[in-house]
Amino acid sequence: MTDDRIVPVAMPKWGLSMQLGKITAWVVEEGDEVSVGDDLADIETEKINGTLEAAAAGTVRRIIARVGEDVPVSGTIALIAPAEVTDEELDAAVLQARAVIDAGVPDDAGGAPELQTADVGGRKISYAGAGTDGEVILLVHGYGGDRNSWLFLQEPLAAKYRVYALDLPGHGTSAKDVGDGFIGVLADAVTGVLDALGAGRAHLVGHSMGATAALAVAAADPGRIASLTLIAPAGFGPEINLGYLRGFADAQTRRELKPVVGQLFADESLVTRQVVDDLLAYKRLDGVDDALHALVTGTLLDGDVQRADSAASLAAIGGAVPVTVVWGREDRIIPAAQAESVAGAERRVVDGAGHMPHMERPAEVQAAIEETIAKST
Amino acid sequence: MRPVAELMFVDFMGVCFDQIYNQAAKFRYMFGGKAITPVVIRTMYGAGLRAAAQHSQCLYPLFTHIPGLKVVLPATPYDAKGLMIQAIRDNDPVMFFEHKALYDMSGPVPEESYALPFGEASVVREGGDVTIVTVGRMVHTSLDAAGQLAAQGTECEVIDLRTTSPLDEDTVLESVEGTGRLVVVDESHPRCNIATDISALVARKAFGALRAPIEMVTAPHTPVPFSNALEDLYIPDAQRVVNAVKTVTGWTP
Repeated sequence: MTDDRIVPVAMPKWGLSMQLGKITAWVVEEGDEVSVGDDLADIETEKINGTLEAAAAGTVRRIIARVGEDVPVSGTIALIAPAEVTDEELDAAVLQARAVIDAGVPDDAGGAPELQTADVGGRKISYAGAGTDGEVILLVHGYGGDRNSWLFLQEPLAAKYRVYALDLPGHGTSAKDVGDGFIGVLADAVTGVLDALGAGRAHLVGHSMGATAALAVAAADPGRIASLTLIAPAGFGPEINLGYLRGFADAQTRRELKPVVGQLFADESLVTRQVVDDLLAYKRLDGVDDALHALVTGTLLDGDVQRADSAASLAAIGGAVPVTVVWGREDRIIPAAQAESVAGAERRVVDGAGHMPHMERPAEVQAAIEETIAKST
Repeated sequence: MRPVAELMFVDFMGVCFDQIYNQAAKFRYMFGGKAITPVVIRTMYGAGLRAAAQHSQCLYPLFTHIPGLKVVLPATPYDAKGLMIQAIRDNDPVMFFEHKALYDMSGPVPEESYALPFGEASVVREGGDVTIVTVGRMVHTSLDAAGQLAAQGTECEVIDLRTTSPLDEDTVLESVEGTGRLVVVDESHPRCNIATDISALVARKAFGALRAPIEMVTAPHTPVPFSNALEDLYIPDAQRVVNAVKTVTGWTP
């Protein structure tokens, strides 16, 4: 497609191992006007169901991929173009796109990039990267998550940056031992991965408990960090959903886990059986139970209130780097009202998202990250 | 000591049956909880390898029948590892059934140690039209059938029991309450097997939810034939599962 008036809508790559996606429903029809961030289509992958948002504004002139059809990652599924582009020109582009879809996944399509590991204080810490050029971004997931929490963001950001996501201790494929469960163990892991990457300075993006870890790293050595984007960060108020924290640590079966996980999202239909099964498989690894309970009583809670004092960490950074706080308006784990108390940071509250705005409204979170990075010096 | 004994073909189990069902299975009960028997007995089962009548039986219903034994039948590499670790940690005798035809199957398995609880079925495919309850190798036969049926517009929920003792009744009943139709797929002989057991469970506890008579897909009540052609006919295949599903969806009073 050489005509740059025609904007292709591509099958996104959600997660480093994704090769195919299937459209389960089109939200838009041919002829609809769309703005950036509008929902285009519901897409199902091996791992997750999600909604593709428009990355460009314009008129949807052609819908190419049919509902139920497998489309290789980056295959063109629709065309956005202004009225001046003729039907003949569009048809030529459709033909080209159709050939790519029909060809399926190319044989030389790489799988997930190899997982790298760093030894941090005797603990094995796993991380995976995407992107070959640009500044380093390190993504730090929250309690009970892992590097795959960033599946809607890591690849899109990799167009301009080298984007790494780690598994914190006690999570993913990293060592399950979290010592006393206090923040130092998590912060050391983040610093350890930055060291392993040889990144003198990096942009940190942290979610929830991972934001606390990112803040701790930045407060300890502000020169190390170029910018901070904190998503639904812990520690900006006393209140947190105790039923969620303890329920997640205690859940032993799918039946117990599903309603707990549902509280993470504004739209609970995102919690598919696959999502719950994957979480259950993680929770059943030896040592995970102990790790989750230790993190609740160590890093996260002091009695029934949050232990972290993120305002103090932010004050220690003292405006040395740009900081943005992003909250989902419908957050049921840490109330979005806590954003109001954050001083010395850009604040954004995202509609239509719960505690996981980076999964529910990834385009808006991506924009927040990129704008924060743009402000760094 | 937590011994893991490999007794080759389940067909040979008869020569040590007293030790298994009269001794090991009864210790904890008869000694008032003062003795445990944390043994795992691995064994190979199932037809399909041209091994004839004395090396091809399923026989897991015999062990499921005995109180005091736990009976495990993994269908995937992931489940095999997690259930084996649970079996070793368990303080009761565990019969661990491995289907010969599944040994060359590959699938993702974490490097780390993990245990899967007994008595928790796995819903390996979701669907709202018909519930297929199955176990062991037949999980794959059932999934194959469910794939074919989906292309024809019938969505099957496929439940892998993973352990027949203890049995996850709730997952089976909840599913049937949603679909109203049940097909049980079991490679063992049709009398007093897992298919009859699950059928009885559903008939007793979810009768009101049933919209059609229950169908069972099993091997016939014969020894496993040595003839290649007959053995192929003996083992339940996806076509028979498809036919059974069509029978329950097409049934009218």
